[in-house]
Amino acid sequence: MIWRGKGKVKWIALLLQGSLVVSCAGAGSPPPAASGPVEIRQYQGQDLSAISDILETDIAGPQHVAVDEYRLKISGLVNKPLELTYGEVLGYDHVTKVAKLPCVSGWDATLLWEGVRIKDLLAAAGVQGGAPVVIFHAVDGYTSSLPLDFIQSNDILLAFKLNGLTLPAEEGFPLMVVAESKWGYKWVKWVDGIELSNDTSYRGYWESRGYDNNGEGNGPMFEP
Amino acid sequence: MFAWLKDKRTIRRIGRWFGWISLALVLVTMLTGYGITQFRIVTSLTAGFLGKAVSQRWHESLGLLVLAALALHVGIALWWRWKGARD
Repeated sequence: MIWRGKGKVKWIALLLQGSLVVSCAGAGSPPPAASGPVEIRQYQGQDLSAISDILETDIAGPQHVAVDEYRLKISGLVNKPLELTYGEVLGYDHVTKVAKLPCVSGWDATLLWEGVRIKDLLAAAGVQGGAPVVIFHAVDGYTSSLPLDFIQSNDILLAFKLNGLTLPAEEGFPLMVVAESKWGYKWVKWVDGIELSNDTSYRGYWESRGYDNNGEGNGPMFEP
Repeated sequence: MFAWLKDKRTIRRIGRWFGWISLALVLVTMLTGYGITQFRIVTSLTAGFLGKAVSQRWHESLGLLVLAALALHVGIALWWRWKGARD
């Protein structure tokens, strides 16, 4: 029989040799050449989630925005309504921060965001008194709102980069709200409009469908 | 009032019903789970009845019910076997 005595030892040696050959086959090959910018996965000693960890939960699927035709409109209760190109938005001061995106579906992702402060954009447009609500409009028809105070006191960003890469189309290119400490439905992707309003009863897309308007990440998910 | 409980067969029948109830609850839990992650499909399939928020509220409440129904089903089935072995 094959498995008896010396034969057995031979077969085990053959199997070991085979597995060694298979495991060493790729050891000598050069690493793949890096092309273009690489996703940052660690920032100031902090591990970051991968962009691919963000699950798709959009109301109409990923949007593909043509940057040449893109305009960010700032309207409502402002002294000077603005229409900014992508390049003009990027002309404002850049801020980088790590923020955790918590989704009501049960997952979260800690990511590095780079963007412009929304309060800088609003200052350029001149916010009129008595406009406590900032409504964000997206190209897919999605909307959500945040209090003006919250945006100003927390340096809330309109991000154009994620983990060191330009926002992918799936993650909100060209601009996305980084509503840190809020549930994910407040992080509006594909933003093309910022509207200042005095309508404190305004409810965005998910908020009008039962989710809490405050959207505190450690608070209730649903309207009482 | 609970005289019917003395009939072992009735208890066994109830145990079986709890099995069907847990199966139905598991299916609804799965559907509402998809209603959270695949809300576009589930909302349109249910003609808007199972939206994401409704799905999530149901999904979070169903967990304990599923466990309770399953525990009763398994408990009664085990009791029946043990009782059958003794009698």
